[in-house]
Amino acid sequence: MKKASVYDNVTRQFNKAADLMHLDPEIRKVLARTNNEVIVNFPVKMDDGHIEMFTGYRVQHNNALGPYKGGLRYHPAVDIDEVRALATWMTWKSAIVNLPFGGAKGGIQIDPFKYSASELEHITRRFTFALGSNIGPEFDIPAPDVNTNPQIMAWILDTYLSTMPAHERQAAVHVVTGKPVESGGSIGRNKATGQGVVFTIEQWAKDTNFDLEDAAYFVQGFGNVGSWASRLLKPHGSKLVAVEDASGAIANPKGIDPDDLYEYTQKNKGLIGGYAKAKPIDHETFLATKADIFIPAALENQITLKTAPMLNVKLVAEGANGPTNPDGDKILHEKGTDLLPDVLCNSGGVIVSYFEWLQNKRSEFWDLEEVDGKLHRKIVAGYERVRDTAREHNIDWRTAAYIVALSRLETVYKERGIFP
Amino acid sequence: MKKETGFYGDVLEGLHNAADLMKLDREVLKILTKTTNEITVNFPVKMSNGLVEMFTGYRVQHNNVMGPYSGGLRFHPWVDLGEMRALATVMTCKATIAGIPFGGAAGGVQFNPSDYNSSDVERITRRFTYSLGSNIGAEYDILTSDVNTNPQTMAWILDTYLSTMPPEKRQAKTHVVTGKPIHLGGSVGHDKAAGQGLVFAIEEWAAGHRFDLEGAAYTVQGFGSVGVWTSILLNQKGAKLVAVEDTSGPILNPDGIDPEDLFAYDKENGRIAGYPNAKPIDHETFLATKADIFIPAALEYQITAQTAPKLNVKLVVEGADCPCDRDGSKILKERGIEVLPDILCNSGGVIVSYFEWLQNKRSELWELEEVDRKLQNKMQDAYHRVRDRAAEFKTDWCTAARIEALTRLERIYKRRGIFP
Repeated sequence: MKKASVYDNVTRQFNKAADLMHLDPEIRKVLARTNNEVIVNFPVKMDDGHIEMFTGYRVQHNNALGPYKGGLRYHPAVDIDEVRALATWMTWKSAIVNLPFGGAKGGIQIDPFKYSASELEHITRRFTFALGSNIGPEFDIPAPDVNTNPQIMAWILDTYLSTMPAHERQAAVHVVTGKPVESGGSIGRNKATGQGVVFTIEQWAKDTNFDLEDAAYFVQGFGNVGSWASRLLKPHGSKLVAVEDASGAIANPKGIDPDDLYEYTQKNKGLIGGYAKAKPIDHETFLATKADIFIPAALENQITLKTAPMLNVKLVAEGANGPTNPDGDKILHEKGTDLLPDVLCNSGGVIVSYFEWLQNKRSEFWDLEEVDGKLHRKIVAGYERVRDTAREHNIDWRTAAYIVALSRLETVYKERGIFP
Repeated sequence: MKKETGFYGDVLEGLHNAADLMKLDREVLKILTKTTNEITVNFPVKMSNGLVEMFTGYRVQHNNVMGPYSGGLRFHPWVDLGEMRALATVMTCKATIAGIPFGGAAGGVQFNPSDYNSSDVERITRRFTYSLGSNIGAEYDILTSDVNTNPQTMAWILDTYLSTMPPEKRQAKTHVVTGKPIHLGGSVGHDKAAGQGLVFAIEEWAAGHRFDLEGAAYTVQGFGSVGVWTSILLNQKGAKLVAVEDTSGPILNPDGIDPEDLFAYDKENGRIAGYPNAKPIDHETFLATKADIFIPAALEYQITAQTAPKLNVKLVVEGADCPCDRDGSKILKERGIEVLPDILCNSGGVIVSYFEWLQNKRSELWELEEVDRKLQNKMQDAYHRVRDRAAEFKTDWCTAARIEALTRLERIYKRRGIFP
């Protein structure tokens, strides 16, 4: 089967919003394309002494609002189409929550589980070296994404700084975010995306007079975003009734303790399969779970023409990037299911990345209270802009989020003009 | 893995065949059958009518173990990533065979410059240069003219690149492009360099075969810079141009055509068709013209399964890049027609680009005699090395030329190893 083009989804969403808001046709031409696309092929000496060639990508969509910013993913499905889509989403995301960042994304087309830690380190370092001056603390700032983590960011940092002149090194620590705390990371970065998802859900509950106490929810993906969103919803008294990841789906209508499940996955290669306090179910049953909230926090194109009709929830809160394709969107809208779109809902990660970048730049350390407080203000302000736009134009929330982003970018382009 | 097709597929197959014959280290082959960096830029240009138009440009850098990347820049609607990959790979081989300290690159912008006025072409060129940013540089990646680009284009690139540098660094960077107009740092002899290189190679071949160029008959396909200069310089050796073909159609005169007179006619009329001192013929008759030497100096893939059997010559001198396809090459070999392959014989332009780069770097100005003499030395040296490889491996000259390039690159990789 041909992989569905994620970039097609982005283009359709963009066109819909641009038509509706009458985006300036000249600015539309610019935003419809990515600025730079860098592909690198690099050799790495593996543990057994042999050389393997790898292909890495970095796509920079737009930097009118600030330096390019976006994650790096290690996944066999990484290709230019996917990276283009994710880079474009990053531009919208930063614009919606009002960060001084542009959009970028990158990755390597590999299955990281097939390599040893030492090989992953070599691949990461050689990739960073190959990117050379195409990244930089005031130019393009990578961060973790699918299958990358603080350790990988630390390797990128070390490699990047080691190629700089000695007296410039300490001032360039903000070339990556999502670093381990000891290496310049921010407190609260690890849970940031999940925390942002929960903050937006809280806001939605307040607006719709919905009580999160005893509310049932289920989660697709139990990585960083899925596990943190679940664990942070627990204090509200909400009940996790089903979870799905690459190892299959499990359910327990009486509730699954997310902290306990998280402990289990840490001893089970990060996977939920075999968890004793829930029973395995199939994918269709999982999707049809009756609940109040569904949090897709895995990969793209999960809610589609085929699966959207199965959903039986009040709210979809998109922890993943692009989990709903345009057909899925249409069905959710017709069914009256509320939507917290990815570009708003999962922006907690990039917001705290911005805080980390600021702390590095200013040589400061913030405490968790300060980080959480600032994250809350940023994401709630973004939520309110999207909500008010949706009400004003009487449109779905995704299109509203796009309009918030595109309006900001349009203003900047009108002010700055086209170089030279 | 997906198999490459088209031009790039042919280039890779050529490398694989040569690698098999010489038993190239498999690790080195893995590296050389990939390009190091591939940059795609999408950029907006405000045109002379005030509207914004988006353009797509490429720079592909194949390999730089021999020295800075270097290669042409073409403006053509067919420009795409595949073509750039092929041309960049061919450039690495060409520079290596010629024995100059450059790696291989190729770039271009996907548009037809004849659809735009000169002021718009200037804007496009400047905005493209700006988009490439630090991906080019005098000691990193050096651009030169190619299809539909000329000394004027190079002057615009130079001016844009230098204008984005700190003032104190500008004068030391004029070697970021070669093929510049002479008063801007170009080299004397660059205009005729490709043709001059072909003639030096032909002279070497004639000397080796005790063949007298005096009175020898030759035909030329393409009457652009390469075709014109080759003809003028060959006629000075007493050879006789009997037929020429360009897009306006072929012409023939068994008694000989005066290339300088034909060039004057072409300049006045914009075509060779209608030239009074020769008679028009059809394409088949042109290909079947009995002569000693045929010089294809137009587009790729002219000598094919269909056309190769018609040729009635002793020697084919590849002025164009890849004028023979796989079948064509095979038929020429079976028929015992000798071929001076493109990567050996049309490197005159690259070599004099190197001389221009050296002169800029050293703030020197060489005279024509010095340029010609050094070019002849380089061409003779390369010719002898390829000839010896052909004898050593009992193979055709195309394969021998690739073996010469791969041998040198393998030696470097063995010494330097794989970073880090």
